Amino acid sequence: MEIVNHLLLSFQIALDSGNLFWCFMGCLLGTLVGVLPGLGPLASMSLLLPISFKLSPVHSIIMLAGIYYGAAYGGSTTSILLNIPGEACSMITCLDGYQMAKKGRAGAALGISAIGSFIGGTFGVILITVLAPPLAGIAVKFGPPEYVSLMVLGLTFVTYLSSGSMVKALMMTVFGLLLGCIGTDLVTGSIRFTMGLTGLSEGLDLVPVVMGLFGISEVMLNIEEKMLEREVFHTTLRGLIPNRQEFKDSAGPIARGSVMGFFLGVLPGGGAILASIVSYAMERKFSKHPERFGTGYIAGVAGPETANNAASQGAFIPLLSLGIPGNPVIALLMGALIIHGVTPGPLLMETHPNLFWGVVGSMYTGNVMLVFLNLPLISIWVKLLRVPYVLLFPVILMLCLVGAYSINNNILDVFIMVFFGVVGYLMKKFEYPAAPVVLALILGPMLEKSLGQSLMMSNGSFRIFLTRPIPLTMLGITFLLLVSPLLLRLWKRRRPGLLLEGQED
Amino acid sequence: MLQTRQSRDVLSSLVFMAIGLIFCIGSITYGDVRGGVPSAGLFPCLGGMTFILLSAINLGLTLKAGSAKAGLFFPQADSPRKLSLLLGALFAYGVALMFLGFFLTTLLFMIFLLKAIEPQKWGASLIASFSVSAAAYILFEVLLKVQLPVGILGNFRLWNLF
Amino acid sequence: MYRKMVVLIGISVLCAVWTGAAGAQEKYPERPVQGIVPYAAGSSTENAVRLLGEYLQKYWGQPLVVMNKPGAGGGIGGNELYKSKPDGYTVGMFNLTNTTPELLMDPQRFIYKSKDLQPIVQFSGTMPIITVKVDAPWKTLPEFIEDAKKNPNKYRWAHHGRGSPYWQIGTALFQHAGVKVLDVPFEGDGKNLIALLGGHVDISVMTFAATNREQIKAQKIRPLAVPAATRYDELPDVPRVDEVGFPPHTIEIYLGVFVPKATPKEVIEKWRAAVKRAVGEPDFKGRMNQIGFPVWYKDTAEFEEHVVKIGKAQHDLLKKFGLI
Repeated sequence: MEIVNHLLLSFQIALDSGNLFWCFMGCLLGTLVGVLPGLGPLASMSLLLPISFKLSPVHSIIMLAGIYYGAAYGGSTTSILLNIPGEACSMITCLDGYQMAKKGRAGAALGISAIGSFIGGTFGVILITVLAPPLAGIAVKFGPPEYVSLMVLGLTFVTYLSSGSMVKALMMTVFGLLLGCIGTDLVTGSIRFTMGLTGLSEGLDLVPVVMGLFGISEVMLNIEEKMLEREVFHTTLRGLIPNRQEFKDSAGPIARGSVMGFFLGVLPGGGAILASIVSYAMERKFSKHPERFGTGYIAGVAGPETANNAASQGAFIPLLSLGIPGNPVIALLMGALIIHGVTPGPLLMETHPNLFWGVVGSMYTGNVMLVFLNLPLISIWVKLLRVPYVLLFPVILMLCLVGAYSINNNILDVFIMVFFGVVGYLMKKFEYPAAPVVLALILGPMLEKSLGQSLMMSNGSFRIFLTRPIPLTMLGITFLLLVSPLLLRLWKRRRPGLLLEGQED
Repeated sequence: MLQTRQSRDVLSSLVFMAIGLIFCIGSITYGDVRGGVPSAGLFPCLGGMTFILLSAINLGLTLKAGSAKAGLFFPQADSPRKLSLLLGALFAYGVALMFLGFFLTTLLFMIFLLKAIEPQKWGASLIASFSVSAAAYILFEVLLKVQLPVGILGNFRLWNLF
Repeated sequence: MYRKMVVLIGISVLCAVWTGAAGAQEKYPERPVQGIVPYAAGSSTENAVRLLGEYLQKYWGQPLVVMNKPGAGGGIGGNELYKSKPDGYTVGMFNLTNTTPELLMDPQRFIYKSKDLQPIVQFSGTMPIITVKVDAPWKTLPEFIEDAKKNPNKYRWAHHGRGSPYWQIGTALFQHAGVKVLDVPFEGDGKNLIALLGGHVDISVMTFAATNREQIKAQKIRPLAVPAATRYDELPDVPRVDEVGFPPHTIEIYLGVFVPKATPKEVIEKWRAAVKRAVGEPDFKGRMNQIGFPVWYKDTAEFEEHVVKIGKAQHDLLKKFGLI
């Protein structure tokens, strides 16, 4: 039984005291980095890389990897408590998590977030252990046409992200697509809409926009009220743990989020953000209570949080089996490996089994450590919120400002964040949803680039999307999803007595 | 002004239509289609047109729906003042950060916010601002090694004073 | 209240100036140095830069921090260097794509000219290779060309973007042979490799850096030819392009350190000395080769000439095929 041998080897290495220590350091740093808005694992990993040179390859990879998924755990903290995403992928958690906090269930939200992350992460590691090579094969099958169909499918999920008018949601999606056009067109290389600012030549950075739209705007809204009378959240002791009902509601989303998140994470360029968005949309679409989403429904937290952790684990598959990094953070890890003399590739499992299984083993221990780190922290975070808002909001703002600056050491990002703070504030006042903007900002450029590449591959013909199995299937699913509300309504009309949970218009 | 939902929707729809138009016009210079492959201008142009269309639909829907009173735009009388002060402070932070360096800018920023928006006592403000700025400095510059701007303070180290 | 504020600000400024004046002497480098890499995070170039940075950190006590500025075929990174303060805390780890802007395609991407950059030293370079999947029907480059002649616009090749040296190689090759092969840009080696492995393209011009080496070793991809002046040591059996019926390709993709022209001489000298020392270290070559990079060292004067020569060679090639 190969697998048992592998598992035993993993644990043997992972439980070595040196590796445990560095895993812990990584997780601790990662949590911290994840909690602080704006500061991402990429920035901190690349700054800590020189330190890792002094360590052995196994130790440094374990530490850096710890930072990576530690950040995935920590990112939800500020999303839930302050409506400020700690990581871009935690944006979805804001939607229901913050509402839960407002209702006094912050602890429950944080708790289910940690638990879901743990289950998602562990599930991911198990799949890596068992399925690494075949999964890598799937990753490779995704070329530009496949990505186009994936993006199109992703964009149709927009409608499931917001609770208000459909037209407004669509408007915001297109707005996000237009914002995504700012910067360099990846296919032709021409620079668009940058108004002469070189800082914009790579496009709008996602993190300042998200921090502005969600976080800064929230502070602005809070300032308007009389703050002296405001206590941030009333949280009772009962609010610290999810209750029975909440556990029940979360079970399904966690299970689905794990599977779906992992597979989305395997695809290079897919990633945690997409996973959390798809999870939320899916849960909402197939839920018995779609109207509860957006008001503080725990399923809206459990699913996305699980999905983004599972996706973070999934991103290791192309790295460990093919030597191809799926996102910039993994690419950094790969760089660290290479500098230590270990080149990831198809032979990694054979040439460096200790490293390979050691890293996998540390993923198990890392997830365990993180859940034990995060759960007790919940009560601390909740206590922090008792600080009067008048004192708290300058600190929050300062953290956001520094976080925005630290992304690229570019002061422009700070101004972008403030600008979108105003935009977000206005959008909230005029009742336009913010989430579709972000989704479109992510997917738009990827869609445009993949479309260009696909058409270059097919010499201008659109048939390429119909002659390949994956795009054909995905586009079919998209079509069905788009048409289903219409079909449902037609069906309702034929059977007038039937009560159906239909879509809003 | 802007007290009804309808008026807000009308205003916002018009603004968005204008934005769509800007993108549309701006994208013309980037070209349309070249050799079967969409060129740089196609996406934004189509996007802009769709945006205008959707905004127009929104406008139409809201005009049809009729007036309904919405909540106060600014919930408190002094909201506009507080907001402008806040925005001013945020903007000033961005500008000052490169000149004054992290520590000084953060310190001034916090003192200003604590005093100007809903005034606190001087003593509490100073202590809070100073300790938070110092803690942030240690956290970001020393512990996490973020490269924060240095400004006129030079490489100010607290222990250099002694 | 306002008077109190003014007093407070005055005191803090005074404190600041006082301690600032009493502060330490400026010694380069006093804080981390940013190395601009004009490619997205995770590129193979980054690894070479980090390796060099490791040695520099040993000598200077300050790290070399990689700053990724991808886009516009090196234009974004180049523009960034041009605009940065010429104090030596921002350097460019550049290759031939953005050091002689007015001689290349679409010069309007760049806001500077060759004379605005000062080359310091060359320490490495990239080795391009032409590869196909191992189960492809072609064992040599001429075989592929034969097939492509019979099937115009059927096959696709991957490169790193219009105007990039890899694109130059492929385009020159296929134009010379008179075949129509569809070109598809990919950002970075990783995406390029996936495209090849997944069958989305049929042939690729990629770099011979670490991951691709592993793929070759694992027999997943096969190199058909090397567009270089000499065969590569690690691939003794792979012919040069001029050995299989094409004009020789001698445009070397160098990797060197550049700074804005106005950078002080002492800083330039410090860099020159440090890199020279690093290159001379006994384990440097071995470690560089192992991450897929050669050690090609050129001192300042020689490098300056080299940059001009390669720039002209690119210009002539592009002109020859009517691309500029």
